[in-house]
Amino acid sequence: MSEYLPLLIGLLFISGILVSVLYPLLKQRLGWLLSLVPLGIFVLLFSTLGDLDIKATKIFPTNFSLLENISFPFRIDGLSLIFGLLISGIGFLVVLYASWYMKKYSRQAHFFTYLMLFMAAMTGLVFSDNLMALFIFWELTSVTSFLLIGFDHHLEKSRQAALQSLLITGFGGLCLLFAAILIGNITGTYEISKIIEQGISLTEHPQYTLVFILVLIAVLTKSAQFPFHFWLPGAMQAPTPVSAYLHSATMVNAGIYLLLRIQPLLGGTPIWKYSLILSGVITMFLGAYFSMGQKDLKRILAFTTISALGTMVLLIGIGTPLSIEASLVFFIVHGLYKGGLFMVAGIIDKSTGTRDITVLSKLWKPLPLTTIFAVLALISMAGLPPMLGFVGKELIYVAKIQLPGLSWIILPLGVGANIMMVAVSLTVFVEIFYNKSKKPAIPAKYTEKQLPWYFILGPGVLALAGLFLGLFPGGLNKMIANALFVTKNQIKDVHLLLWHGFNEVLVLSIFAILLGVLIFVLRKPVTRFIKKTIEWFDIYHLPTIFMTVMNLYLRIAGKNTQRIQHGYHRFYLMTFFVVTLIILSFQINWNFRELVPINGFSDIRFNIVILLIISTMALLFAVFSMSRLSAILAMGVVGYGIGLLFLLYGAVDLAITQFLAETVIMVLFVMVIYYLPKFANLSTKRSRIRDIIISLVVGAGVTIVVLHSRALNNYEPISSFFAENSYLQAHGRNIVNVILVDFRALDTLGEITVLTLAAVGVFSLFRFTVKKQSK
Amino acid sequence: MNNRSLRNIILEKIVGLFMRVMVIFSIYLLLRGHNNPGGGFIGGIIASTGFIFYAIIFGTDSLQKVIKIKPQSFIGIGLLLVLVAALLPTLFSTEMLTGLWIKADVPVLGTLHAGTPLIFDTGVYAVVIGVILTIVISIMEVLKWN
Amino acid sequence: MELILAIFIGILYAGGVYLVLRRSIVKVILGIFVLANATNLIIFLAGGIKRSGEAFIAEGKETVDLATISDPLPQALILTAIVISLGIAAYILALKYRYFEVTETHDLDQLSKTDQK
Repeated sequence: MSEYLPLLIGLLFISGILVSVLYPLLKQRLGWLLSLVPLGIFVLLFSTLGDLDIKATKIFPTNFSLLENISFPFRIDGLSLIFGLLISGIGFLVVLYASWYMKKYSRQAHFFTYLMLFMAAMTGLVFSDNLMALFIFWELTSVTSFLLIGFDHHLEKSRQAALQSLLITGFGGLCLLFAAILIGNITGTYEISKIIEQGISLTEHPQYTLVFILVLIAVLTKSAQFPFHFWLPGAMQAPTPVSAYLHSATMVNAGIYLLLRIQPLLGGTPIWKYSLILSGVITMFLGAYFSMGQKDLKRILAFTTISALGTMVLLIGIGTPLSIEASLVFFIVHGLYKGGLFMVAGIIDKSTGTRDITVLSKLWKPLPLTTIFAVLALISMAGLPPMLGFVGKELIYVAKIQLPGLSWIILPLGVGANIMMVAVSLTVFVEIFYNKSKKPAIPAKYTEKQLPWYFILGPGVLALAGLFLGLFPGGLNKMIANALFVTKNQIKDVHLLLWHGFNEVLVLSIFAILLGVLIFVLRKPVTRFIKKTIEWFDIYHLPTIFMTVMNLYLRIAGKNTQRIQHGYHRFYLMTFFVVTLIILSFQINWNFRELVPINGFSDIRFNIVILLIISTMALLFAVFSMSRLSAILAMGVVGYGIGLLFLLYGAVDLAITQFLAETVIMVLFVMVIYYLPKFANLSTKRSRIRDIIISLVVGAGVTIVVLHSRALNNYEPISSFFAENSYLQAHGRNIVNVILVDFRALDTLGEITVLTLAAVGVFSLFRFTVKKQSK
Repeated sequence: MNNRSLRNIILEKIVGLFMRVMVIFSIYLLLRGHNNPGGGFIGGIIASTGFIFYAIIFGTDSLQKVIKIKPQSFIGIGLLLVLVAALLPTLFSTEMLTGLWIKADVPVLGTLHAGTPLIFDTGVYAVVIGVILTIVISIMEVLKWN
Repeated sequence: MELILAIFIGILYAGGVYLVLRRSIVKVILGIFVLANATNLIIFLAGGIKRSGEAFIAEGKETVDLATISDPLPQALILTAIVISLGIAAYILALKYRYFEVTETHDLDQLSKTDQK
C-alpha cells in the first residue's frame, strides 16, 4: 500500500491548487475535505509501520524529473516515517482546527492553498531520496511559510516578520543547495540511498569542512538556532494554526530532520560534534531563559520551541546511539505537546480576545476541557510523569550523563533549562487556568459549549496521545529503533520505560522540579530580573541589527542602481559598444596575417563597387543631414542599394522582399514624420567627436570580425541538404521558399508571431491615444 | 495635412485599378512561390502596398469598405491557417509541421502538387497583410488621415 | 570583393552606431534600421558570395549542385529578418509617436528623468 505515497504527496499539491476552485462550492466545509488528504497519508504511513522491517528502506522512483540528475524518488524508512507520521497527523488536526479558526477571514481560500502547499512541501522534504529534490522542497517550505507568516499582510509587523524569516531560511536554503552540489560532485550522485550504499567517506574528503559548514548554516537558520533564532518569535505573526504546525512538526523541525538524515554522511567528526553541541547548548539555555520573561502566550511558547530545538541539536551533536534515541523521542514529545499548546493558545485567543498571561485568568470555568488538555501538555513540557515528556527527559539526562568530557557543563545547563521549563509550565497554568488566583476573571466571548468539537479536537488528541504514549512508551520502541538504524546504521534494542527505578537520573528530575517550583514561587523578582537582562540584551537586539544590515544593503544597492541605471539611453548603448570592443580586443589574435586571411577573395565586380559607393554616400548624407525627409530618403537609397546587392548575387526573393519592406517602412516613416519635431543639434561638439571615434572603432571591429569569420569553418554547411531534398521531398523548386514554409517552418511560425505582436503593440498604443483624446 | 488636396479623378481611378492589380499579382506570386520567386511574405507585402496606396488616396474608411474584413481578422485567419498546416500532420501521426502532399492531375495545368506548405504560406500571406494593414490603419486613424 | 563588402559593412555599422548614440530619437530609429541592414549583410556574406546562381532547381531537374547557386539558407534567414525588422520598425515608429505625444520632447536625455520618479 505504501507505493501510493508519491501519489498522495502529489495529491497534497493538487489539493492546494484546487482550493481556489473548490472553495466557492464548499465554503466552510472545505477544511473537512482537505483534511482527508493528510489523514490518508497518516493512515498509509501507520499501516506501513507494522510491516516495515528494521533494515528495510522502501524507495519509490517516480517518472517525474527536472534534469538528468534531479529526479523525485521517495523513500520510506524509519526516520522519514516518524517525521511523516507527525507531519500528516498534526497536519490533519491543524486543517480541521483552521477550518473554524479561519472562519472569519475573507481570504480563507488563500490560506488553505498556502497551508496545503506547505504541508505538501514538508511531506515531500522528509520523504525525498534525492538531495536536489530535498533542496527544492526545503526552499518550498521557506516560500510557503513566508506566505503563511505574512498572511495578515495589511500589518507592517507581519510583513516584516515574513520577510525576515524568508531571508534567513532562504539564505540557509541556498547554502544547502551549495552543499548538495558539492556532495553530488564528490560522490557522483544526488541520491541519498546510493551515496550511503557506495559507502564513500565524505568526512575524509578535503572539502568536508566546507560541506559541513554549509549544511550547518542551513540547519541553524531553519531550526532557529542561535544566532539565527530571532526569526521564530517573529513568525508568531502567522495565524495560530500555522504557528501550531510550524513549531510542532514542520519547518523548524526540517533542520533536525536534515541533521539526522545526513548524519551517516557527515556525522561523527569533531567539528560536527562540537559545533552542534555548542549552538545546541546556547540555544537550549537562552530559549528557556527568554521564555520566562515574556507576557504573550504565543511568544512564551515560541521561546520554549527554540529551547527544545536547541536540545535536539545538542543531542544529535553528542551523537551516541542513546542521544540520537533521546532526540527522536524528544522530537515526538515536543511535537505532541507544542502542537497542542499552540492550538490551546488559539482557542484562548478566540475565546477571550487576548493572549497576554497577565490579563488572562480563571479560564478553567469557561474552558474546562481545554484546560485539561493544556495541563496535560504542560506536564509533558515540564517533563513530569506520567506524560511522554517524562520519558523523553529522562532519556536526555541519561544521554547527557553518559557524554564523556563535556557532561560537567552540559548537564547543569540542561538541568537549568529544565528547571525553567517547569517554572514556565507552572506559571502558564496558574496565571491562565487556575481558579483561585487573585486576578479578576476574564470575560469569555465563547465558552467551550459554543465552540465546535473539531476546534478542541486537536489539543485533545495530541494531549491524550502524549498521555497514552507516556503510560505505554513501549509502543514507540520499534519506530525509534527503525529510525535509529537509519541514522546510526546499527541495530539497537530500544526499550522505552516510564519508570526506571530509583537512580541518579530520577534524583536530577526531582531536583529540577523542586527548583522549578521554587522559581515559580519567586517568579515576580525572577521575571523582573530576567526582563532586565533581556533589556540589556536588547542592545544587541538581533532583529534590529538584522534589519539595519538589510537596509544598509538596500541603500547600497539603490545607489549602485542609480549609478548604473542613470537613464541616459545613449550611455547605455555606449557602455554596451565599448565593453563589446574591449572584450573583442582580448579575444582576437592581433597577428594580422592570421586575423584577416587575404587570399581566396572572389573577383571584384565593378558594378557592385559603384553601387556600394553610392550607398555609402547616401549613408553619410543620412547621418549628417539636418532635414528629416532627406535623411529618410537617403536611408531608403541605402536600403534599395542593399536590395540590389542581393539581386546581383542571385538572391531574388531576398531582393524583392528588401525592396518592398523598404518601401513600406519609408511610407510609414513619411506618414509619421510630419507630426514629429525637426532635427536639432542637441549634442556638443566634443561628444560628437567622441561618438564618431567610438563608431569608427566599432565599424573597424565589425569589418575585422567579418573578414576573420571567413577563415572559420567549424561545421560542414548544411545547405546541400536543402539543395538535394527541396524538390524531391518538398516538391518545390524555389529552395528559399521551401526552407521558409517547410524545412524551417517553425522559424517562420515564430516570425509571424513576432509580427502579430508588433501589430498588437501598435494597435494598442494608438487605441489608447484615441480613447484619451475622446475623453 | 489634408489629403483632400490630393484628390484627382485620374489619380483615383488609377489607384483603384492599381490596388486590384496588386492584389491579383500578389496572389499570383503567392501561388507560384514554391517554384519561382514569390511566396507568402512577398505576396503579402505587395498586396498591402496596394492597400496602403489606396488608403493614402481615399482614406482608411474607404479601404475598410473595399476589403470588408477587419485587418485584425486577417491576422486571425492567417494564424489559424498556419496552425492548421502545422497541426494537420499530427493527425496522420507524423511530426508537427511535416509537409503533407497530394498529387492531382489537372487538365490544363498538368500534374499539381498541393500540400500543407501551401496552406502554411497562405497563412503567412494573410498574417503579413493583416499586420501591415493594422499598423498602417492605426497610424492613419490617429493622424486623422480620412 | 569580400574585402570591399566587409569594409562596406563596417561603414554601415559605424554610421548606425553613430546614429544610435544621438540624442534625437528620430536619428536613433534611423540608426536601428541601418544596423539591421548591416547585420543582414553580414549573414549574407557568411553564406559566401562566390557562387551567385539563383537558388532554384531548374525545370525538369530534381536536384541542383550547391556549388552553382548562392547559399539558400542565409537567404531564408535574412528574409525572415527583413520582415521582422519591418514589424519592429512600425512598432518603434508608433512608440516614438506616442513618446513624443506624451513627453513633448524628442531629446532622449529628457527621458532619463522618467527613470527616477
